Amino acid sequence: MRAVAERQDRAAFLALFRHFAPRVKGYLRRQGADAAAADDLSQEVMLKVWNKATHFDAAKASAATWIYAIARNTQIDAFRRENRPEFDPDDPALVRDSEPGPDESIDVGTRAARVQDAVTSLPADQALVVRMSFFLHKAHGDIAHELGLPLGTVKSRLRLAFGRLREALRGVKE
Amino acid sequence: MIQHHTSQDLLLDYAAGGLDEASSILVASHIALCPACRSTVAEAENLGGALLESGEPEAMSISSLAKVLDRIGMQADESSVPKADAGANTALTQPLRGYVSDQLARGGWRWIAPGLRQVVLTTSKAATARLFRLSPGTRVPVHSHQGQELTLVLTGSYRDECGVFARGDVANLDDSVTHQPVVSRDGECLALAVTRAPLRFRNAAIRLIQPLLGI
Repeated sequence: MRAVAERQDRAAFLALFRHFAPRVKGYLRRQGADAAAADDLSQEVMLKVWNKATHFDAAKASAATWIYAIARNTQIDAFRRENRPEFDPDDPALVRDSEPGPDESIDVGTRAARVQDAVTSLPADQALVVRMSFFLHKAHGDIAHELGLPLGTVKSRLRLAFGRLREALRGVKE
Repeated sequence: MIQHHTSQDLLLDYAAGGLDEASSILVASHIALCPACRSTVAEAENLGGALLESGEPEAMSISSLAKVLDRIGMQADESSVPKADAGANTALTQPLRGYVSDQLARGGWRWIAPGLRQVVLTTSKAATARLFRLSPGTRVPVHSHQGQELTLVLTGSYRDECGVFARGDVANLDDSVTHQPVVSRDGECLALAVTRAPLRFRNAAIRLIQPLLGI
């Protein structure tokens, strides 16, 4: 990802495409897109990855996380026909960071592996609501309705899952 | 320094893409003004990244890579996002500018009550986003909310039963709160409010004309 961001390296982009395009397509398919639409949209997403690569900051996000955000926004624009309001890092109104971000002493690869571990080791009930929320973009109320759970339970499961992720990201218990 | 933040639930829902458009404008604007909540959203997006990484891939069509490479070769600079120019109105955040300039071009501020004007933003129907412009010293009539109301202050400040709200602060109100915001005398207050249902005013006369006022 860095090679694409810093040098517009096409060979590196090919590798990214081979790894991520099928995953993006799988993600879009699970949200109900037919195969042709999902294929077109995945191409759209990968084109944005190339175009926006200079904004990629490896200290802030893994390639998977960054591409997830692009795929999510593309999906909202295309399927819901809604605009996805997104903050703009170049906004003159932006209030800059004064606090440290994620612990940068942890190597990017290690951090990605920890996040992956944290997510794959979530208890089944938490994993399910995280999936429905982050993968199917369902609102918390709709998740509660579908699972026949109180809204508070859905929210607390999401909070617990996020707490575990934070521990993994920061390398400390909160 | 921001005193009142959006709830973590709302940030998680925004990161996941489950939030309606109107509420997303508010969250995107708050995180532009609040580095702490911005970093929470960035952390939460890792959940999506991990799911993308471990999700079942589906083979792309054979011609897909060639199509993308073609388009990379053809485009000059296809940056579709309009950039904020240096002279932009910094009272507003970038996520708001597009919505507001559209609306103001179409009709501008609508008078609601003495000292209170509004513009309703065009978003999907799930919730309504409106920008309020309140003159210094305005006392908004006592009201409560059906369901949730979120308010983000952009300029100036107001005070109510929950405290003082200034630029970047978010008030998260539900039907348990009846309040009367009073705008500071120091300046006009510009605020973005997102509601899912009409406000409930205590004053019956105001309730009667509410549909006419569009609030």
